[in-house]
Amino acid sequence: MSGNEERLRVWRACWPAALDIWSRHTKLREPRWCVTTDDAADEGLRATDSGAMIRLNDQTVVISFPNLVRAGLDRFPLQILAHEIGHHVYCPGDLSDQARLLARIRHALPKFERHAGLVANLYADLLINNRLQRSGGMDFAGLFRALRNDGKTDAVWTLYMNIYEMLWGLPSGTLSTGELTPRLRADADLGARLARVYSRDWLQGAGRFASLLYPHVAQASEQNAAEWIRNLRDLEKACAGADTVPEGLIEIDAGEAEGAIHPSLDPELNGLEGEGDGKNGGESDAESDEEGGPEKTPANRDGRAKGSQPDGAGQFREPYQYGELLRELGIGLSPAELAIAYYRERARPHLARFPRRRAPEATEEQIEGLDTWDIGSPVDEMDLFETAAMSPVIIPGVTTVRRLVGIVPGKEPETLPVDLDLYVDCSGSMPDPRYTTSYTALAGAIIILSALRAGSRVKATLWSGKNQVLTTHEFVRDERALLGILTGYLGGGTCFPIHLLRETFAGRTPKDRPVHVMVISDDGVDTMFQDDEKGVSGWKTARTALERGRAGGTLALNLYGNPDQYPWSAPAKDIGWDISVVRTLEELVDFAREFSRRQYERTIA
Amino acid sequence: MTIREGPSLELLLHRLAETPDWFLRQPATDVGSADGVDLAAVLRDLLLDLGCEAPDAPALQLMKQVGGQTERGRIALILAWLLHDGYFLERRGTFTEGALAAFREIPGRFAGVVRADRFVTEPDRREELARLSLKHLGLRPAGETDVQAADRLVSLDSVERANIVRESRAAEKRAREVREAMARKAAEEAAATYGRE
Repeated sequence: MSGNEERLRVWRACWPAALDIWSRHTKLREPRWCVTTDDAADEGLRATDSGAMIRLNDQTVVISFPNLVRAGLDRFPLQILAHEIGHHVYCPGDLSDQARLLARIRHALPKFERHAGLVANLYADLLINNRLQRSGGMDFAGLFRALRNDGKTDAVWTLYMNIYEMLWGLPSGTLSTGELTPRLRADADLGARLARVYSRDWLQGAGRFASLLYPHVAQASEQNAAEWIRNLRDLEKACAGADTVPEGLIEIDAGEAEGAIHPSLDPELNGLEGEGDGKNGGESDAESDEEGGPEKTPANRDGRAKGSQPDGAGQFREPYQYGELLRELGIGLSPAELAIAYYRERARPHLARFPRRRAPEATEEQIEGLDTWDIGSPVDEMDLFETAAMSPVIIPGVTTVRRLVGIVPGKEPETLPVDLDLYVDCSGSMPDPRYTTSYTALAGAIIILSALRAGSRVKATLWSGKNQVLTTHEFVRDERALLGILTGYLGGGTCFPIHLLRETFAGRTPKDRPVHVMVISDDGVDTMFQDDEKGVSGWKTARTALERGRAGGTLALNLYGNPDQYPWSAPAKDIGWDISVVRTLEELVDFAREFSRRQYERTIA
Repeated sequence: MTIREGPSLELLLHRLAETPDWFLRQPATDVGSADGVDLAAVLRDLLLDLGCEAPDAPALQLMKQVGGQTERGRIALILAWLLHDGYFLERRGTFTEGALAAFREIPGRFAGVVRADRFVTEPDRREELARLSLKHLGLRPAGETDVQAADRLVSLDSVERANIVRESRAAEKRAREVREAMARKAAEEAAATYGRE
């Protein structure tokens, strides 16, 4: 038996035991065992990467024997497998919590956000290894001693190892190799307390851990860091290749900013009596996790501190921050795709059914007789029962029959969706939706998604200066295409595309579905009523659109003054435009929600 | 001072974890007062059991030094419980001086730094009190070398750590403000860069 075969046999035999350490009920498929570097490369592990990793998107552990042998870690199958399982069942657990963990750590590492992945990995490892060493009775100290011979070290690694020494009551220098200054020892003690106090509510401790490491990370040289982290980055590609974006990331978790405090400022950790907020401080036996299981409490699932106010609740990341977080996760979406994902998620809580109108009655099919089914007819039209009844010998085109079906009015009224022709102002006065929150884009997303949900088709047009237009051209039901247009950016002058409105309704007949026309803009909407390139009055085009659309029109406008002061206001109302004014762009969200609700309720009544 | 091998650490940690409630009560204000535990009497009994032939005077002196209804008094009560372990009592006469030194040093050392009950409820503080007590008695935990025992005590030194934490708190507050300002500036720069693109 070769060395690789023997190694594989040993590691495979350890897998059930590693699962049992966490729980007999832990379900996780057997790891991908990579015997060669080529196998590992196929799974995304390069020769210089960690010897093991977990992919959270498909809950797969990957083991690279060549990398483990290189690092001298192939002697620790149970520890390494149990550790990787810990990432699955304890910290971070899934893509969403990994994202929240990264968000908190990024907040605590200004200017050094690029190290957030590393710090998150160190934090998760600390919690898992401590639990396995203390409760699982596993020898992680031995594993770290094997790593100790690497030689390269810096303050971060010395501190990190000293935290383990503190936690496990090991003499200094057992795991750490660098100089232990009094400051490092004090920080290590705080880190050890943190690992105990926040072991269950681990998301709450993440910002504190990052703040503890911050000054040391800032001073560590990139070269040294690269040396010692390479064997440990088992979460580096945890989300790589994920084809779905975890939900809930647009909202800033409660405590995300407040949690980014140095442990010396946390009365729960600093142990200073009578200072801080008057709490007793310190970790008691009851607070430590030594007998506890890995279950997550509702508090840590929500990222909220026990008994604390949700201080960050209700706040949203800006689109660019959302994009940075997803990039850190390894989810490689283009800026356009990021913007679509962002506005889709922000719009979702506000969605309502789009207006439906009562039509005459729906129709039902009624069988009127039989006709010959010939070979050129669709197979599914052939009535097999009647064909068999006709003759025991089936001759296609001769004995085969099909049903003749007539249409009669049904008893239930059919609902007819109203299509939407949406024009969103994207001139220089509007923000770029890919970077900062654009309330015009958000309002548009709410209305578009509501319309699609109700079965409507939508034509979306983003407009700015003359000939600066992005449009779907047709009424479509392609959510991606529509949101792609909506979240684009033009940022030029202001000139409503009258020609598009004109062309949209030029050939429309009463047989076509009704269309509601909506324009989201500011006082630049007056360009809608100017003459077009053919000299046709914009007023005529606007009137024609409403007449042929047969479902009304809305001007949703961000105006600072009284709308009646604008000369176009009264004539617009006279020809049927409904004018809704918001004082701030943020109010457009309320408008969009109310618009859908109002239209819907009106139809149902 | 020669350091000898003493009892196992686990023995003392277990004893501290099981400190009776009576030893966690508030000591009396003064000798003979009925408003709390009579600390002087407790110290006298301990010294007597450790082999001190005339314990009254040193017990009273310690009582005055420690003070009555103070956190130091509560720490002294817990220390008395710890040193009343059979290991020390069985070696009658060996640890009297060490015990007196421990009472003179330890309660005052932790006053204002560690609340007394944490020497019972917190694993690290239990270990620190046990190790520090052994040190004053000229002992090290069984199975450890002098270097290991000294190193572990340094790692657990809550007084030293509190001093550093106090110093670093002010610096951290300032650093946090700087970091927040840096983050704001970085966001503004990112916005400007994005806008240009």
